[in-house]
Amino acid sequence: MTAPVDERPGRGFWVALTLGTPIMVYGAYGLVHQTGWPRSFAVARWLGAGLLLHDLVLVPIVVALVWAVGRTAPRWLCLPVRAGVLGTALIVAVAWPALRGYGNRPDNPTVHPLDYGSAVLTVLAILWAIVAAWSAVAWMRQPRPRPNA
Amino acid sequence: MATPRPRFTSAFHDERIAAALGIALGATFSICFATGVWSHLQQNPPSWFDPIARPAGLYRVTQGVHVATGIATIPLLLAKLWVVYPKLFRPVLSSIGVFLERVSLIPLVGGGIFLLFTGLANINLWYPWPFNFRSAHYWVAWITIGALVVHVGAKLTTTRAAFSRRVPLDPAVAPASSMDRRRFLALVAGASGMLTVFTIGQTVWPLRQLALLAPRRPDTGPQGFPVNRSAVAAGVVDVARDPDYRLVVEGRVRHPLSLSLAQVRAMPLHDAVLPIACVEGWSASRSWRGVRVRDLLERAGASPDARVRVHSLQQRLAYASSDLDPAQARDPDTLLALEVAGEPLHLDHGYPVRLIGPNRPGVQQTKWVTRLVVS
Repeated sequence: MTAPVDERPGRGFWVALTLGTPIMVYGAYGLVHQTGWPRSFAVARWLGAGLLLHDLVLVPIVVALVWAVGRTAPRWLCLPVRAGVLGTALIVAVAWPALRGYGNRPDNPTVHPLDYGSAVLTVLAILWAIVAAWSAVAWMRQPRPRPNA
Repeated sequence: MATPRPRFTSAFHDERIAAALGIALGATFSICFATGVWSHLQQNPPSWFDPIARPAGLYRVTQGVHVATGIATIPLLLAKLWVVYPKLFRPVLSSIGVFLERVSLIPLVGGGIFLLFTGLANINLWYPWPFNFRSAHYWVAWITIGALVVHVGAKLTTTRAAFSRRVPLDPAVAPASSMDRRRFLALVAGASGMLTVFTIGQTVWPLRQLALLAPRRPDTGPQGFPVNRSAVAAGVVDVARDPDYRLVVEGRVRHPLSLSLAQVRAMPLHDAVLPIACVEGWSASRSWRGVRVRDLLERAGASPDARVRVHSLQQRLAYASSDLDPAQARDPDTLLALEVAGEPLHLDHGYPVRLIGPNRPGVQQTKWVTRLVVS
């Protein structure tokens, strides 16, 4: 039986806490001093919302995707397809402002100058070509039952 | 009776993977922090800091690295959070040390997500929040880096143990084989690499054709490079074209000047190849022609240690003026540019006159210049 993990932090933690806390306080003071309490609370809300969004929305979605691929794809195909699905989500998320035109200005066409639908599809095509090649290698390498002599 | 904890069967929730990703994140966040503070010092120099004029492309490099590293950090952070996710379900109140360590994760993780999201939105010029991006991003970076210092101290022992293969096994987590670890880390590195390849062309000219996910292209815009604020947005379309335009040099000078555009053009013109390097991470090197600021200062009888505030025709919005310290004002490549790539400046690039100098953030290459105040 495995022993439970001792999670109590060592002496290094207390030294780091002594060093890191004043830096955090400096940051918090600077934020409040420069932007005021209402804006600082707004920053805190966005910071907290990012945490909750990750823990309560993003991770469950990833768990569901990983699980769904595991249920539907053969074992040798699981990892490439999971990588492809998560890579697709990442690329779309990074390109989302450009895809939606967030930040566009009618007087400034140099912001988001490309057709980002086509650009993202091109990147995804490259990603899935890599996934296909990887899957082919995984299929060739998978263990097969030996035919009877 | 103890509450049963959920069991995580993925082999990727592994201490060694967590340690490797933690080291990578420590490096990328430190790079972003150092380059970010550098950018802040350049834009808001305190009394003890005089921005340097050389190397001319330094800001282009530091800000390009800042944005590229930030983008590459997105998969690293998501992967790290995935790997350590089971720890979210561990008891918090087993000791004061454990409690404080867990509390310090709120500014660390929350701050990390905040910095990457706001940074990504900023390079797209998208501001969906009610606070000032620059202040919030800068001060939250300090909070996050403080929390990172605490976290490094907390995880020093675990990380050492992970790499010396003396990892205490967590009964809630299945350990990964070395093949699993290598595969997972290679996938994360591949994701970071892919995002980098398809965005870094916004600042690395030879890779510009690959910048399919970048919000800017360094070869696209009037006269072949991008614009951050147009003449329409700055409200200077009419006043910049006014035939009565004057360039004024005043303040601590012996002979205040008020020059027409023709008089400015009649002065000795000099060429300089300098980058426009924006805080959003894009940059483009161009050949500029214009009047040296130091020639104007000498003609006006300013002292050699003069500081200069350069004012734009734009009356509202931020960055309507910028400062030149003595080293920048005296640099032979600091110009009031009239032309770029052999053509008169486009209105969106600052016609009739714009400031261009070595190692300056793009927002301080003031456009539509009308007045130099010497102090």
